[in-house]
Amino acid sequence: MSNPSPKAHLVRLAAVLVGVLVVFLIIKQMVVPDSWNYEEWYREGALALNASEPLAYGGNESCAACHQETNDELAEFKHKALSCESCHGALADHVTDGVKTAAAQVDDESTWQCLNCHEARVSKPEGFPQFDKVAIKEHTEIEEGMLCLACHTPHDPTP
Amino acid sequence: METLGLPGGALVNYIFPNNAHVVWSIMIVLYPYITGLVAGAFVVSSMYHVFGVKEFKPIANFALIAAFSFGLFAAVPLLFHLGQPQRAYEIYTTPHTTSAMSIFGYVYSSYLVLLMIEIWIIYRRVFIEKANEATGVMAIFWRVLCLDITTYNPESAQFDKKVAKFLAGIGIPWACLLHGYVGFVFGSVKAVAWWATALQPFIFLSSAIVSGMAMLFVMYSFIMWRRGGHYDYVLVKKFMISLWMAFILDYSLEVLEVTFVSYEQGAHWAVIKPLLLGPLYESYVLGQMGLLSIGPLLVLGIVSLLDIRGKALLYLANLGSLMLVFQVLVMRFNVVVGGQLISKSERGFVDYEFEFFSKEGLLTAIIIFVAPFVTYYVISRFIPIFEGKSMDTEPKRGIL
Repeated sequence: MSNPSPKAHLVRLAAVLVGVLVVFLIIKQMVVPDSWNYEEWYREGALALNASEPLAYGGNESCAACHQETNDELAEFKHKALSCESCHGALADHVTDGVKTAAAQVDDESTWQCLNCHEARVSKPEGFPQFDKVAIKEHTEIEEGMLCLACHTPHDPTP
Repeated sequence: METLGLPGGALVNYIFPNNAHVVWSIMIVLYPYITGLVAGAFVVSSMYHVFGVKEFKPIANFALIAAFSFGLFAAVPLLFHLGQPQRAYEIYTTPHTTSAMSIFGYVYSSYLVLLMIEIWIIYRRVFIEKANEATGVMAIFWRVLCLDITTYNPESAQFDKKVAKFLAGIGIPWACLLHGYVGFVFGSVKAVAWWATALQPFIFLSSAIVSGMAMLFVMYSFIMWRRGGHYDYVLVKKFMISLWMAFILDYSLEVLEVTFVSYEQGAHWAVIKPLLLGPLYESYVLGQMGLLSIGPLLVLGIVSLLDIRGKALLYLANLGSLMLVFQVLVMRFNVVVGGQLISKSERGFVDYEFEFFSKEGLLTAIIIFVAPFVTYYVISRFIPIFEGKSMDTEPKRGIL
């Protein structure tokens, strides 16, 4: 190139920067969802998407329709505040049109479900029963691998 | 687990469930540290380009390249900290205007772009030379880098000088904005007693300048040692006086912060005092405010005030600079992790344990921290950094 203007490089730099800005604005236009709400700062489409997801949990009332007896006893149980599906898994598909279509689950071969709530954490209330590995050993004073369910009824685990 | 004196020695429930571990860990210590090195190194470069401090001319370009190398990695620790790093670009596309944190993308990137343009202007002459000499793929690379303008004449050199000075000029408030902003993010968290002070942006800014200058000097003496020991002692002396002054300002602000909270004897002090005398005793009282501050103040004071020359000057300058490099690193740790040690109930402290191999562990931190130095080394293989062959030497008319 023959003798460009002393400012030519800056003009080209400015062109590059404007080009980058335009590319950025195009990308921004493409990646920001159409339903983005700039007032409340969230994607409005997310609500409809969540609402259209199939239900996974039925809720305690749906269990009571068939398991009335257990449900009636519930008020006396130590675990009365828990949802059935906390331990039995998501059960929205358990019954379809009055016919049992999927089995309720419960893992009675391990202690992980108990420890979901009862594992020791410094932030839990003092009076809440909680166990770390040492506490479990002290609590049972028996061999390792002993299950909580060997002594405790899961619905009403009063000691 | 340490607790503050409560009625009846009560300890129950003082840690909330979301507060059982320190969430902002080493990555968030590293992020303001590297950002500070960028700001500090840039200030050194500006001292020559804007304020005409001639003693700093030999390291003005070196400081810029070092600032750029650190700048490239300033945000990397944040990406490692994020649970969903692939969404990080969203702070550019939908930054929430009421959140200081979400403005980071723009504050940081605009500064990096400014730094890149400044380096480009200063090194344009070198790029043009390379474009005319190189062949093959490298010729294309250098041609693209000079935006296909392959002549360099005195008129454009004169013009570039003005542009470089202007960019360095606006770069100073911008660098202050970048690091003052980092301090602002911490200082505005009113839930953490140890962070919430309006002094925080100034403390971060001044310590950034100190750490950037100190790190730059350690790098300078290492590079010069590798090149056979051609140290510029006039530069070293002037640099140490500047560093000493910067650190006096920084240390005064740090002392002022803690003195102020202490003198107020308010609710904050009730939790900050046991924090500083308990979990942070070694790192804050003995480290940051003690040995790593008193040491450099004395060493740099001796270097600045007494007539020390030659090797003794070099050893003392390196000793002082190294202590300051660590002082600021420890300071970042004491602020970031220290602040989170206060449990959110303000009734006691949580524990922090160093991890080594985890995603946010020490190993990751070391790798990220080494990356800028490797980058600097790679850049220095391609362009001259200390030879003064950039914009500042007068070019001959016409094609070089």
